[in-house]
Amino acid sequence: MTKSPIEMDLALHAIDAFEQANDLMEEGASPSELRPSFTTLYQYVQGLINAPWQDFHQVMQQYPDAAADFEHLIRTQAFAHFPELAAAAGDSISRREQEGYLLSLAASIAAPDQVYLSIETNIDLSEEPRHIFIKSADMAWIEIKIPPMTNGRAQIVLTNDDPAVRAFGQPGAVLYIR
Amino acid sequence: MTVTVFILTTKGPVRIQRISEEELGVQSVICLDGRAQALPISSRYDAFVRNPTGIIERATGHGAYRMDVDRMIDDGDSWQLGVYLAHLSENNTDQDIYVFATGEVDRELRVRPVSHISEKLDQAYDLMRALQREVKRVRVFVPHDNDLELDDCQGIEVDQVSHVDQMFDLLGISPSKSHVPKGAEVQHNPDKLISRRILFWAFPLLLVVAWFLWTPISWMGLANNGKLLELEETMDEGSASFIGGFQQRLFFLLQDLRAHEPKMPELVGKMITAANPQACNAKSGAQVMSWGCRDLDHGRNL
Amino acid sequence: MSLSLDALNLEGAKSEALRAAIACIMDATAVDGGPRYSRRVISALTRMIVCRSYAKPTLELSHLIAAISDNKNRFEHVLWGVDRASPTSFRGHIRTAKLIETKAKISVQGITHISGGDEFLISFGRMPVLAALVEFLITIFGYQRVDEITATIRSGSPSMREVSDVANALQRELYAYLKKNLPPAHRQKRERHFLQFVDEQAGNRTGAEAISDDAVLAYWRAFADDTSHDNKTYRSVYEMAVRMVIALDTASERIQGNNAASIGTHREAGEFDLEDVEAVMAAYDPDDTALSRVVENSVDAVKFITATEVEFLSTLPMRSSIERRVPLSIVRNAVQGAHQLKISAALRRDSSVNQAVLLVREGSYQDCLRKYQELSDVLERILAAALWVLFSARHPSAISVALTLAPDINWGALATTAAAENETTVVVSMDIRRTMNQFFDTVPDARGEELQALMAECRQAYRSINRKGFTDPGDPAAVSAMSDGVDDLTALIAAIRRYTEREVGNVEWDDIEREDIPVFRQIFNRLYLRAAGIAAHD
Repeated sequence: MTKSPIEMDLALHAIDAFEQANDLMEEGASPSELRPSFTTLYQYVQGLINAPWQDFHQVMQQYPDAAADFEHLIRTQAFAHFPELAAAAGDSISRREQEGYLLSLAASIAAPDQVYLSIETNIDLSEEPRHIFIKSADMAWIEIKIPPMTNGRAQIVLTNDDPAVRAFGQPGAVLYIR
Repeated sequence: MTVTVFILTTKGPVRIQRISEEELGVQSVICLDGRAQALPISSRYDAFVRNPTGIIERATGHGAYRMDVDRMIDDGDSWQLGVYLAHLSENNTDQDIYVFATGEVDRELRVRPVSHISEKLDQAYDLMRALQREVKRVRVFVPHDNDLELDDCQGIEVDQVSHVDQMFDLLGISPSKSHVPKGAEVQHNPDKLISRRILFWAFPLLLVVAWFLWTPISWMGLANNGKLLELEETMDEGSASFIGGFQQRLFFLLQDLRAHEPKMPELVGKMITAANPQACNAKSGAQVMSWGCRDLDHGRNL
Repeated sequence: MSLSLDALNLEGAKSEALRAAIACIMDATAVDGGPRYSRRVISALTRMIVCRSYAKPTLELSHLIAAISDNKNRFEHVLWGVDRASPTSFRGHIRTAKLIETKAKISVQGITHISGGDEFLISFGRMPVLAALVEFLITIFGYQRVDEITATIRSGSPSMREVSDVANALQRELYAYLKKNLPPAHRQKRERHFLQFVDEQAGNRTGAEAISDDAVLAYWRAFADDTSHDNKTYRSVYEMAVRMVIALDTASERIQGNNAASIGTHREAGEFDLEDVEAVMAAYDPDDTALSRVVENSVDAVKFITATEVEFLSTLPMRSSIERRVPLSIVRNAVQGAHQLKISAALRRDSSVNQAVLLVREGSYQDCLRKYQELSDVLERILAAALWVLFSARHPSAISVALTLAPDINWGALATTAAAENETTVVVSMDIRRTMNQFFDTVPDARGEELQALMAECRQAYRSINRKGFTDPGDPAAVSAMSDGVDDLTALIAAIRRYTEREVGNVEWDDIEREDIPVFRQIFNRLYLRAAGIAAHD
C-alpha cells in the first residue's frame, strides 16, 4: 500500500492542474477567428507589417476589445492626433490642422466624383507617417495609407463616396496620423 | 485633329488618355484610367510640372494637372518626354498622329538617355504596326544615344532626339498656345524668355531712375550757366522733401566729380643783376624781381 | 443530472474567455510569420495562471516596466522591439535601447532596476515570460487599464514601494479575473486508476518507486481494451507513467523540503502551497527539457538540430528518474509505440491488414539504441563545430565548450606562471587573460599537441556541416546564438549518453525483444485483428 498519501495527493493535484493547463492551451478556434493580438496591433501601427485584415473596419467592429486597445495604442503612438471639432451641425470639414500636420480635401475639377486628400507637414521627419486612421462619428474605423512624402507633402485620390471622405468631413470624427 | 501619345515602357506602351487642369493648391497627379488610383510616380510628375523644379508650368503657365493613363507606370522618369509632348501639343495639328516616346527631359528641354529602349520598343511594335496598317501616322522618339543600335526596328522609323524642339520640328507642329497667359509669347528658347522678362521689369525701373536724376542734372545745367540765384531757389524748394535731399547730395557729388584738379603752379622769374651795386639801395621805381603765377586758383593772384 | 450539466456549461463558458485569451497569446506571430512566444513560454504562462502563482512574476514585470520606461513614459518599444520573445533577442535589443541610466543598468545577466539605493535584477531569461504576461494582462484587462495601473511606475524614478504597489494592484486584478474565469480542475481518473493498479502490485515500494517497467506493461496488457480510460496505445500508458514518476518524485522532494523548513507550522490536510503545485507541474513540462531548449535555440540564426532528429530524440525522456525506473519502457515506447501508430494508420488506409503488419522487425530494439548513440555522435560533432565558431570569434564561452569536449586535456599547459612555493603540481596558477589569449592563439594542427589537435578536429567538424549558422564563422548572430545554445546542446548530449551508456549499457536487448514480441503481438492481435473480425494466427 502507498505510504505517502500527501505526496500522491500533491502529485495528482499537479496532474489535474497540468491537464487543466493543457485544456486551456488546446487549439480551438482557428487563427482567423481569434481577436487580433496586441502584438499584431502593435506591429501594424509601427508599420512592421502590412494590414493583416481584409476589412479593417469589420475587424474592429467584430472585436470591440481589440478596437479599444487599438485606439489607445494609436493615441500613445500617433505623430498627430486630430480631436473632434466643434463645428455647427451640417458643416462638412475640409481642413484639419494639428501638431504640425495639415490635412485638406479638395474637389477634383477633372473628375467631379473624386477628391484629393492632401497631407502636409513642416516637421523634420525622422520617421515617415504611413497611415491616417479615422474613427468616424459613428465609431467606424477607417484607415488610409499615406504614400511616400516629398518635401513634406503627400496626396491621395479618393472617390466622393469613400467612407474616409465622409468621415473626414464629420466634425465628430477623430483622426490620427501614424 | 489630335496627337495621341504613348509612353514606351518595358511592360508595353501606356496611352495618355487625357490631361486636365486642377486647382493650383492640388498636387499634380497621374491616375489610372479615370479612377481614384494615383500612380506611384505622381509625386515625380508633380515635380515635373511645378516650378521651380518642373518645366510644364513654365511652358503653360499652370501648375496643377491631372493626367489619366490606361496602364500602370511603376517607376523611373522616362515618361517625361511623352508627357511633355502631351501637354504642349493639344489639338495642334491638322492630322492625327500617334507618337511613341521615351526619354527624360531636363530644365533646358534637352532629352536625356534612358535604359531598356530596345525592350520598350519590342513591347510596342505590335501596336505600332497595327496603327500603320490602319494608315495612321506613327512617330517614335527616343533619346539620342551613340551607343544605341536601332538596326532592326521592324520597319518602324525611330527618331533619336536630343532636344524637344527637334521632336516638335519632326512632327511639324508648334507647341500648343492654349494654356499661355495673355500678353506672353511662348518661347522655346529659355534664354530669350529670361531676357524678355528682364526687360519687362527693367523699363519701369528705368523711368523711375530717370525721373530721379533729371533734377540734379538740371541743377548742373544752371550751375554751368552761372545761374546761381535760380539754382539756389530751385534747390531750396527741393530740400524740404526726402527725395530732394538725396537729389541735392547727388548734385554736389556730381559737381565734385566734375571740378578740375588743381595743377602744380608754374613759377616764372627773371633775375636782373644791377651793374652798380649801389643802385639797389635807391628807392625809386627800380625794377624788382617779379614773380608771376599763372593758373591761379579761382583767379586770385598769389 | 441537469445540475451537473449546467455546471459543466458554466464551466465551459468560464474557460472559453480564458482559453480565447491564451489562444490570442499563442497566436501572436513574429514578422516572419513564426510564433513570437515559444511553447515553453506559453506553458510557463499557463502554469502561472492555473496555479495562480503570479506574485513573483508580476513583481518582476513591474520592476521591468519601471526600468525600461522612457522619457515619454512608454515601455512597449522595448518589449515589442524584438520580433521573437527570446532571451537572446532581448539581450541584443536592450543593449541598443537607450535606457535611462539613473534607474536602469544593463549587465550580462539582465537589467537591474535601481531606486533609492536598492536594486532588482530581471534576467534576460525571464523576459520572454514577462513579455507574454504583460500581453496577457493587456488582452484580458485592456491596454488602457494596464496603462492606468502602471502609470505611477512609467514616469520619473519610481520608488521600490511604488513598484510593489503596482505589482499588488496587478495581482488583485488577476485574482478577480481568474476567480471569475478559471474553472476548477477536473480530477484525472485515468492517473488515479493507474496509481491504484500500481499500488496493488507494489508490495513494499511506494510512490514513484512502485512504477516499473513491469507495472507499465502489466497495466497496458490489463486495460488496453478498457474504453472508459484511454489506454489503447502503449504510448499513452507509457507517457502517463512517465508523468506520474516525475510528479511523484517532485512531490516527494517538495514535501520533504517543506517539512524540513516548516517545523512547527500547521498545514491542513489537502491544502497545498501553490508554489509546490507549480513546481510539480514545471517538473513535467515537456517543453522544458534539454531537447526543447535546443529546438528553441535552433529557430533563429543556428540550426543545431533537424526536425527528423527531434522527432526521434523526443522518445527519450531526458530525465534520469525515468531512465532509472522504466528503462525498458523507453525503448518499448520508441519501437513498439511507434509501430502501433503505423498499424493504426495502415488500418485506416486498408482494413484488411494481415499478421505481418503486427510484428516489429527483429533487432529493432538494438537499432533504436544504436540510433540514439549515432545521434549523440552527430550532436557532438555539431558541438565541436560550434566550438570552432566560438574559437574563431575569440568568444569566452569557447573555453567552457572545449573543457566539455576534452576534459582530459592537460590544460595546465596554458599556465604561464611558474608554480609558487606553496603550490603543488596539481594546483597551478593561471593568469586568466594570458591563458585566454594563449588558448585563442592556438594554431590547429592534427598532429600537434592535444589542444592543437582538438581545434583541428573542430575545424574539420565545422567544414563537414552544412546547416544554417555553420557556413560563415564570422556571422555575429551565429556566434551569439551558439554561445546561448551550447550549454543546452551539451546537456542534450549528456542526457542521451546517460541513458544509452549508463542506464541500459548492460541490457541484453535481444533477450528483451524476444520476450516482448509475443506479448505485443497478442495485444495488437486483440486490439486490431479481432476487433476487425480478422482471423488471427499465432
